[in-house]
Amino acid sequence: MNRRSFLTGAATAAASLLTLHLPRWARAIGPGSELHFGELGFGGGSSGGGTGHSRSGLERLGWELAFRTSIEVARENPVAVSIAGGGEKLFETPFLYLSGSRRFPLPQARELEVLRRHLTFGGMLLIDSAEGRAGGDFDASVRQLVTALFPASTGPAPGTGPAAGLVPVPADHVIHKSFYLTRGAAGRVAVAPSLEALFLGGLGGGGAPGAASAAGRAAIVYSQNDLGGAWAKDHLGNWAYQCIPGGEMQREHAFRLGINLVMYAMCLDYKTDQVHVPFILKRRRWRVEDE
Amino acid sequence: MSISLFTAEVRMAIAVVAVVAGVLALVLGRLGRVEAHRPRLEAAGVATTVIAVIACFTLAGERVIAFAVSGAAPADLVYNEWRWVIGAPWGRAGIIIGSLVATVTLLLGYLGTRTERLARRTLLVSLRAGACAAALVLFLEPALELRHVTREPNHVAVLVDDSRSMQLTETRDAPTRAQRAARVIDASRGVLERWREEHIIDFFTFSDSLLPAAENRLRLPAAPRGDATLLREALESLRTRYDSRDLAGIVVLSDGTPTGRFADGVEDGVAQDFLAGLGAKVHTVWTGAAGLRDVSIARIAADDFAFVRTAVKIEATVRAAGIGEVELPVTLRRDGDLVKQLTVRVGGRVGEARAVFEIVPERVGKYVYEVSVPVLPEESVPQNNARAFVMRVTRDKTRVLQVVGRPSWDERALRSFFKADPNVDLISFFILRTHDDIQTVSTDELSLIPFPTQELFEEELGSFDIIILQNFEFAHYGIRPYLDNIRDYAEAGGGLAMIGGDLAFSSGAYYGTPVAEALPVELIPAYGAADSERLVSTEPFAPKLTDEGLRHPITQLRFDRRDNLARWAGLPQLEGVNLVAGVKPGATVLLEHPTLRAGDRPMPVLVVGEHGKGRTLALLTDSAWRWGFLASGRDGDDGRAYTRFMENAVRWLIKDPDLDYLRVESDSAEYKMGAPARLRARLTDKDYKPAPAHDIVFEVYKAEDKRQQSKDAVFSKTARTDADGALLVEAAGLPPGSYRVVAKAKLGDRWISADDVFVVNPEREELEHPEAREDVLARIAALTGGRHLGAASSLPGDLPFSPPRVVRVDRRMDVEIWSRPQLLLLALVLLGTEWALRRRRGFL
Repeated sequence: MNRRSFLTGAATAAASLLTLHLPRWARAIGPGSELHFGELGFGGGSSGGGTGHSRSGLERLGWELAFRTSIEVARENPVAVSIAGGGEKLFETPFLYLSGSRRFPLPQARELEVLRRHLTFGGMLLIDSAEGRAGGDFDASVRQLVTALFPASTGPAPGTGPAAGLVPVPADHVIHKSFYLTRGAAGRVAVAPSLEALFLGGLGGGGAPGAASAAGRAAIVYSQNDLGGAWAKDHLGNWAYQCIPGGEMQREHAFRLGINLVMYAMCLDYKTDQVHVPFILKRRRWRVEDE
Repeated sequence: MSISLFTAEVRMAIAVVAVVAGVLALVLGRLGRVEAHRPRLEAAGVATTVIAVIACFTLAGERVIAFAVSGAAPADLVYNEWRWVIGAPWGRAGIIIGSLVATVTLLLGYLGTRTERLARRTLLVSLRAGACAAALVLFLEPALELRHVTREPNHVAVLVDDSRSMQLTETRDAPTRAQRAARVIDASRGVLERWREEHIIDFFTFSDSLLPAAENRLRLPAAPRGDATLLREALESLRTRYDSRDLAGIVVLSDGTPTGRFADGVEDGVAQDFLAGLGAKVHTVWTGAAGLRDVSIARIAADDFAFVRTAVKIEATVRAAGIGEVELPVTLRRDGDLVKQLTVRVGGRVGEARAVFEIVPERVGKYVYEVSVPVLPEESVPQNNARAFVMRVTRDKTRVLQVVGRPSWDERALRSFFKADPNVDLISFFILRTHDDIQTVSTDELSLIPFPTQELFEEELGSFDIIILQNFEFAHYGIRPYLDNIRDYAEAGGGLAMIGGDLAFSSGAYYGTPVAEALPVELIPAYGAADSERLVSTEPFAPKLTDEGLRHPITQLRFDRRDNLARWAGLPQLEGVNLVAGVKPGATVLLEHPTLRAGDRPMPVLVVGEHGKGRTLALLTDSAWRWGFLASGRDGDDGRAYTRFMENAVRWLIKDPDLDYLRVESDSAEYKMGAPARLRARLTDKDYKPAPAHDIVFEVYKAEDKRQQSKDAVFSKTARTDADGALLVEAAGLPPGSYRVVAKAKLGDRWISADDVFVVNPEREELEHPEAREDVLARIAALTGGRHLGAASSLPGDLPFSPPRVVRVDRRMDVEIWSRPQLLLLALVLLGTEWALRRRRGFL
C-alpha cells in the first residue's frame, strides 16, 4: 500500500485508540449527577493560606477518577462553595474539600449548623492539611472545628450521639478497600500514620477515643499528609511537589487513596457487604431442588 | 295380717318333739311309780316332760303372737319380712341379768319340788317356767318389726354404636357393621327376655352422645347419627344416669374404634381408674371384621405460616390398611390447581408412608392446599382420601437487588435508604470500573470482584422481591442472555424498577430487549448512548403530578391532598430526564415533564405498570436523590421526601397488602362443619381513610371455581359498611370443602375487589381409623370383669351380671308383743295357777 493510505490508516487507528481513552466527561443527564468537588473556603476565598494548588489537585484527582473508574466527573471541577449565607448551593455538592496550612477562624454558629446538616444528611468533608507536619496551627483549627460541629456526647449510651471526635481510621476500614487496596495515608508527606475520621450514626459517643468502630459513616475524613499536594500539577503540567519520602510510588498511592475516598463517599460500605454477599445470596431458600 | 314365726316344717318338728317327749314322760313316770327313787330316771322324766311342755308352749306362743300381731296390724297391709327387736332399754348387761334371774327362779322351782310326784312336779315346774317366760317377755319388751320390702331388679344397659364408622363394610358384599349389630340384637330376643326376669334392660345408642333407644328399633340397623365414637364419654354418661340405681352390667356393641378419650386405648392410668370405678361389668361384642381396605391421608404436618419466596415443607402421612403393597401418587393442589405430585409406596407391611412436599409460595396471602391420594376401587372409605388446609403466606424481609452502572449520588441515596431499613436484605452490585477505564495496576491491588452474572441473573434471580436496574447498561457484562430471565421474573410476580441516567433505558440499549417488554414505557429505538441528545434532556425542570399521581400510593408524600401538592411543589428541581417514545397502554403516569412531549402526551418522568403478575416502575431521571439531600439544605424541609417516596415505591412494588383499599378476611382459616364462617371486610377510600356507608358485595365460591360467576356463588350478600368502614357477615350452613370469599366494592368509579380463602372441615376423626379393632373392647371387658364376646352372632344367656343390691323398705311397722294385754293375762293366769297348786300342796 502507499504511504497515504498507511498514514490515514495509522491516524485513524491512533484516533480511535485515543477516543477509547478519553476521560468520561459529562455524559450524565444533568450536571447535578456528575461529581463536583465542593471546595470549602472559610471567610471567603480559599481557606486560610492554602498551598494554592488545592484547586489543581482536585482537578487532577477528578481526571484520575474519570480515567480509572466508572464515576462521571464534571468538567468544571472543583466548585468553590461556601457555608456562608445558608448555602443551598452547598448541598449541590455532597463531597466537600477543605485544605490549608494556617490557622483559620471558627465559623459562626449558623454556618456551622448548615455544615452540620450537610454532613448529617449524607455529605462528606475531606480535610487536607498542607502543613507538612503533624499538630500545627491548621491542625488545631481543624480539631476545634470538628469539636464545634459534633461535640462529643457526654452521655454513656453508645450510638446515640456523634462520635467522640476524630479517631484514627483502622487499617481494615472499607475506605482502604473501596476501590484499591490501600495501606497507610501517605500524601505529599508521610507525617501521620493513618487517616482520621469522624464517624456518624455508629457506636461512637462516650466510647473510648481509640475505639474507632467500622460501624457508622465517616462524615469527616482528615489527612495530615497533604494529599492535595501530591495530586497537584503546576501551570506547566509537571507535578508541583515531590513526594517525600516515597517518591512517585507515594504519589500513586496518594491518588489511589483519593480515589478510594471518593468511592467511599459514593458507595459507602458497599465493599464490606461484598464479603457477605455469598451468604446473603443463599440465605433465602426460594427454590426447591427437584430431583 | 297373719304372721307365722315358723315355717310349716318347723312347726311340724316341734309338734313331733312335743308328742314324743310327752309320751316319753308318761312312760318314764309310769316307770318311776313302779320303781321308786331312781333319780336319773326321775330327772329324765322331768326333762322330757319339760321339753314336751316347752314345745307345746312354743306352738302355743306362736299362736299367741300371731293373735297379738293380727290384733295390732290391720288386715289389708302386706308385710313380707319381719324381725325381732328388743325394745328394752336395759342394755346388754340388763338383759343378761334378767335372763339369769329367770333361770335361777326356774331352777329353784325345780329343786323345790323334789318331793313331789313326777307329774305334779312337772306341772309346777312348767307353770313356773311359763311364769318366768312371761316375766322375761315383759322384761325384754320384745317387738316384732314388720317390713314390706321390695328388692329392686337392677338395670342392664345395652349400648349400640351408631357412629359413622358403623356404616362401613369391609368388603363389598359383607354386611355393614350396623347390620351386624342389629342382627345380634334380633337374635338375642330370647336371652333378653330371660334377663328381664331379674333385670330391667335399657337400650341406648351412642356415638357423639348417649341416647335412649327402643329394642325393636335396634333390631334394624341404626342410621348413622354421630361423627365420633365417644365410648368413654358414653360410659360416663351411663354412670351418671344410674347413679342412684343399680347397674347390673353393660353390654356394648361396637366396631371398636373409639375416638375421644379412649382413642389411644385404655392402657393409661386414668382410663383404668375410670373403668375400675365404673362399678359394673362391661361385656363387649365386636361388630367389625377384619379385612377393611382403606387408603387415607392420615395427617398433614404443615406450618400455618410460610414466608413468600421461601421454601416450606408440607408433610403428609398416607395410611393404608388391608391392601397389598402398592405405589400411589400423592397430589398437592392449591385452589384446585396441581402444584406437585409425589409417589409413595404403602400397603402390605408398610402401614404408613410419608410424602414431603416442598413448595415456594410466590405471593402474600392465604391459600387453600389439598393433599389427596386416588380412591382405590376396593376401598371402603373414600372420604378420607383428601385433606385440605389453609396456609398463610407472609413476608419476612424484603430482598432487594440493586444493580448500578456507575457510582453516583443517586445510587448512594438509594443504597442509604435500603441500608437504613432493617426489614430489607440488600444485595447490590456496582460497576466501579467499566471496560474502557484504563488499568494501571494488577488486579490483586484492586478490590474489584467480577460481576457474578450467572449467579445473580439465573440462579438466584427468583429469590428477590424487587430488582432495581439503576443507570445500568447490560452490555459488556455478558448479561444479554439473561434479559429474558428478568422479564420472566417480573411476569412471575417480582417487582422490577429501572432508574434513569445516561446508561438507562434506550441509552442502555434496552430497546428491543425482553426487559423493554416488561417496562411500562415505550423506548425510543436506539442502541446505545452514542446519540445522546435524542435520548436525554439535560435541562432542569420541576415535575408535575398527574391526576393519577395525586391519588396513587407511590406519590403520597402527605396524607392530605393539598398538603401533598404543596410538598411536591416545594421539592428541588430535577435535572435531566431520559426520553421515551411513549407510555404503554395500561400503564399509569404519576409524574410528567412540564414542557417536553412524547408524541401527543407530556413526556413521562415516573411511570408504573403491571407485567404479568409483577409490578414495574420506570423512574426516568437520575436526580431524584435531590428530593432528599438537596431538600434537606432548605429551611423547613426535613429532607425526608426521597425516603418517603422510596418507601411508597417499595411497598407498591412488593404489593404490600397494606396498600389495598378493600380487605376481606375470614375470622378463621378452618371451620368445623356447622360453624358459621364470619367474614370481615374493611374499606378505605383513596386517601386510606375509612369509608363508611358503602355497599360491599360478598360472594362465596368453591375454591376450585375459577370463573367466579355470580350465579355459581354458594353464598352471596350485600351489606353496608359502618362508620369505621367495616362490615361483618356470616355465611352459615356451608358443607365441607374449600371456599373463596370475594368482596367487591365501588370506589369512585372503579370496582375494586379483595378475596380470602377458608376451609370447612368435615368431622374427621371418625373415618381416620376406619378399620375395626377388637383390642380396645377386649381390654375394657377385661378391666371391668366382663366378658369379651368377640364377633358373636347373639348374646349368650349366661353373661354374668351383678345381683340386685338395692333393697327398698316401703313400709315398716313395729308390733310390740309385750304390751299386749293378753300376754299379761296369760302371765297372771300361769302365776296364779302355780301359786294355787303350791298352796294346795302346802308349799306356801
